[in-house]
Amino acid sequence: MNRASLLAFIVACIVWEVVTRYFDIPRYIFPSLTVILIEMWNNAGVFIHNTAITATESLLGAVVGCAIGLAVGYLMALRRLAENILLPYVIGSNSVPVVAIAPLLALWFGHGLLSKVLVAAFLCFFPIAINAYDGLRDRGGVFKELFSVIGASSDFYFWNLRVPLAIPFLLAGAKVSVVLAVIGAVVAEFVGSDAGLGFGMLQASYSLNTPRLFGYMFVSCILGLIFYGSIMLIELLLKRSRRWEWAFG
Amino acid sequence: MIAADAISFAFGREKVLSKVSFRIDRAEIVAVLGPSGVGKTTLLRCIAGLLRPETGKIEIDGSAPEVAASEQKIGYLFQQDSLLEWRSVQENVRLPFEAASVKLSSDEIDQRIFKSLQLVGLVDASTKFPHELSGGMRQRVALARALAPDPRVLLLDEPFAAIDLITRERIMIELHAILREAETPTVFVTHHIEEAVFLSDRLLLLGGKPAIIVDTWEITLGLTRTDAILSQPEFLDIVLKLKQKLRSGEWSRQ
Repeated sequence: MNRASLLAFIVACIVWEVVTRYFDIPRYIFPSLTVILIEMWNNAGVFIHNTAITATESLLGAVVGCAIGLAVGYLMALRRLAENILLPYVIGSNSVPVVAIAPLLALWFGHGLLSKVLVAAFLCFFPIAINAYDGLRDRGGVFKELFSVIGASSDFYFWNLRVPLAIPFLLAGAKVSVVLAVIGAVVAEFVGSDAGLGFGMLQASYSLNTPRLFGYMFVSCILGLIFYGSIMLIELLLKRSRRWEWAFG
Repeated sequence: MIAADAISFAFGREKVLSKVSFRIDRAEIVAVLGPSGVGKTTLLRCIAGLLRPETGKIEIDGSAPEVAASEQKIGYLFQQDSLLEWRSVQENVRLPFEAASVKLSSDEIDQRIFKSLQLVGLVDASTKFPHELSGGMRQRVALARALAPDPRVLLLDEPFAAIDLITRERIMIELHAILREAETPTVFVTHHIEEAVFLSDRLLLLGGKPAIIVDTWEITLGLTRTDAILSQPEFLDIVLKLKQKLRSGEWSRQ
């Protein structure tokens, strides 16, 4: 966070606090920032518990979704037959609303961890699959000719040219995927669960505990930012290395 | 070492090369000179096995180009330097050894990489990355990579195309010294007459549509070429004659 964004954040918080207090907006409609923070502080144990559950589901979902996305992207990039068969389904999968797939997965796999992980993985899958497909695709050109002239095998060509060239694509896909994993886990918890941020949000909304609802939304945002930040950190480390700075210049 | 016998090539219906023949039997530098688009790079790609001629036969050291490439008998310098940005200079030069089906000992590989970098004067830059180098240095790394496996032939495709005019002259002189020392039979293509005359022992003039070899010139400027040659009457006379030939249209009518 740079100085300008920190300043904007502080100003937004002050405006929020002043407006809600000045107009005396009821806390069940739009609570002030301090009311939300007090609610979170007083119920820290519940918040931590629910956050840990959603974080676990999101993390596992991100790992599974990225692994499957990578495998499908790899297949589509390498085999024309796989590209022809899989690409329409991969694109189609992105158009299926997660609120439709979540109840279905809950029906098939129950209300435990597995269905949450699968919903998170489902949302993660598309960005990583399409970026892996784009990044690993054979670009031909002078590099292909170079590898041909030095007598390189297709495996050597893949690992020593296509994979390194795909790294910026994969990181771009991962940045989107990991944030979607959090959304997937929360939506899955909405459908059926007894813990997690989604469950907490539902409970808070049923009891008109709007400060707590806002609290869960904050935590959900922070979780997404942490996931996104972890990929940004990898990108930053690569950017600062002499070997990879060209890719992220 | 390179024998091209009546090579013809077409892109679809468009015939590019017609019965091009030549031989290179010793460590000489042969320039293929011709106007842009005549088919010089196509000829070079056929020699490297990147394109397959419709008719005719190419042999490199007695093998078909594809076999020669798999045995790393061909060194190829592209118009763009084609360096892998995520590999250091040394790692770029190491690439052909990693790709080779027959592995050498690591000591021998290190020695060859060192020798090759020494030849192009880049030993001190071996740990740098391509984006830290100038255009001329990048091209020298690519040349070191092409020379490191000790190829039987070296093919250069307009090696100075991406280099500015001021650097070009300096690099041209350096390249000649490197090629002389490497003693590798070399074919290079260019549309730049001065460059072709300065670097080569023999000139093949490519012209017509489809292209044929319209003339062959022996260049007798001596084995050592320095910048002094660029102002010698003999050099200027050859350049002038070639330019007159080009302007007269004699070149393309053949």
